[in-house]
Amino acid sequence: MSSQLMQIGIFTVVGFLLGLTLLLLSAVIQRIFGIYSPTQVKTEPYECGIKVFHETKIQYDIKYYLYALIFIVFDVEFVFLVPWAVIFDVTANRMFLIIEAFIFVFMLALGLYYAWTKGVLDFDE
Amino acid sequence: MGVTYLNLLEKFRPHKVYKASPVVGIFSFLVLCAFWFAIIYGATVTAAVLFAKFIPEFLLSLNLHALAQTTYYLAPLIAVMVLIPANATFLVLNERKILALLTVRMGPNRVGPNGFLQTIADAIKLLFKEDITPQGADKLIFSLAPVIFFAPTTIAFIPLLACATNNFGPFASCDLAIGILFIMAISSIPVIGLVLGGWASNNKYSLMGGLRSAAQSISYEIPMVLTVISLIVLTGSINLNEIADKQAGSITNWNIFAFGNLPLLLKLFPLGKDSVIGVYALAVLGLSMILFFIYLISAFAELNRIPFDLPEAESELVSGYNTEFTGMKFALFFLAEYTALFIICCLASVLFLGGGHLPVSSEIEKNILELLATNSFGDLSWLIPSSVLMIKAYALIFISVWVRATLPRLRYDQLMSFSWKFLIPLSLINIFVSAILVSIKP
Repeated sequence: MSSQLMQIGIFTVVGFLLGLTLLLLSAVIQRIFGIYSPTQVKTEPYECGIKVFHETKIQYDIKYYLYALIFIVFDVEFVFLVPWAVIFDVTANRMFLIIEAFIFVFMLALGLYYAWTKGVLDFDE
Repeated sequence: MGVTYLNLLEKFRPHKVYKASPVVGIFSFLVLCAFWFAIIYGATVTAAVLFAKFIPEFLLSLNLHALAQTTYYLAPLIAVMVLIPANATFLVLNERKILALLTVRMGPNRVGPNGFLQTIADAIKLLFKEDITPQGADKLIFSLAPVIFFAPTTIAFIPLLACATNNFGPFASCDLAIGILFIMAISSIPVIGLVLGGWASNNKYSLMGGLRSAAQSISYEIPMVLTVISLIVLTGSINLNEIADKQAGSITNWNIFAFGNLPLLLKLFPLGKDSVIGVYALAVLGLSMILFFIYLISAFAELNRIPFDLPEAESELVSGYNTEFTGMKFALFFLAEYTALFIICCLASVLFLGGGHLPVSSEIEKNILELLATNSFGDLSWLIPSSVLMIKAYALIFISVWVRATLPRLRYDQLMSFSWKFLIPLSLINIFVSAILVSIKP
């Protein structure tokens, strides 16, 4: 297993380093060839051709926040279901496994149903 | 007579008038694909063999054991480093050419023969483009976001490398026991890069694009992982190599065709006692098709492909999270997007389309592999699975471009409710349907 961990380590380090190196390379090229010459107008944020008229970092109604909450529940569910799914094929008492998973998933589905009826999943209000 | 508009048009008309003929277009496209495939595959294989075999042997002859060992284990990394840029270069050109074919145009045809080198020219342009950071942007996060988006796509290659090479030499150290789980976990990281990039660029369009892409990615990740759970129940493994090996033999053994139960379908007729087995096979066939399509739809949605490209909708959000990115930062976003598409299509072909196995009987495949394994150049048997896997992935990518050319963009609330109100309940039910089907197998 150690060689697998080593590969993951190598890939992680080099993956991040490669991105940073490419950015550094482009920055160096910009400076050497004199491409980099920002001006006031150039660096204005894009606003469909008109002057920037508002702060960007405003309080923004993030409806997605509720989706994120439900997502975490389901993502954790995924992690718990993987071992169940792997041993399913080799277990003798499959009825027990199905009922067990059903109770687990049913409780989470109940949460989804609750969110659904409360209108979390509806956009038009 | 003064200079009229028509006169001007006549004056600046190109010398050669191109007429798009479908037959010529398709033929030249196929030639282009063959050339590019040879280049990508050749370069990757050369790099892998150099680092796995020749350089370690040379270093051993110089008695540098530790260095030889290091080079040997670096081979997978080098192969990926060569594969990612070459592959993305090809995929961009490929996509533009297919879109051109489907809309009866010529597509890019100026740089190199038949537009062969178009994306290389684009890449050089991006490298020399002025890299502007907008006013009020968070400089550190603005620069780091493309890297955070790019790095996970490199990492997610690890289990696929082992699967693509049949655990050849150093690639055996990439064979993770938890292959699918690893790819799923890693491929949900890039969305953090999108949100950070959208937030840091101090632009309203980017902010909205980033938030939208976060919401969309997490919404479509759930049906995808739940589908994968159904698949694990049906195949009984989360190791990519094991899943691929179970589908060896013939095309009927592929997971998309009823998880190897397709021959049982013949027992449906004549009606009688054995028909039950046929009905069972029919049920599994339906389930496997549903699983494949849920996987494909969620994969395209997670990668923000058209028709799910709401985060970068040109007509409303200009370009979403990457509005303010230019030069190398934009190139990194682009590179990572196409690499992620390639990875997800590779994974789909391993999970559903037989992985790196030829669609011929196991005997013939074994003979071919043995023939390649015992020749004067050393063990070459890993060339077959890797090339087969890549071709299958490119076929799926062709389908994704086809979908892009066919379907219009969805509305945002439709997009979200399609996932939460249809795909997620359906895939939750699928888990139990597959569990029941496994346990009642006659």
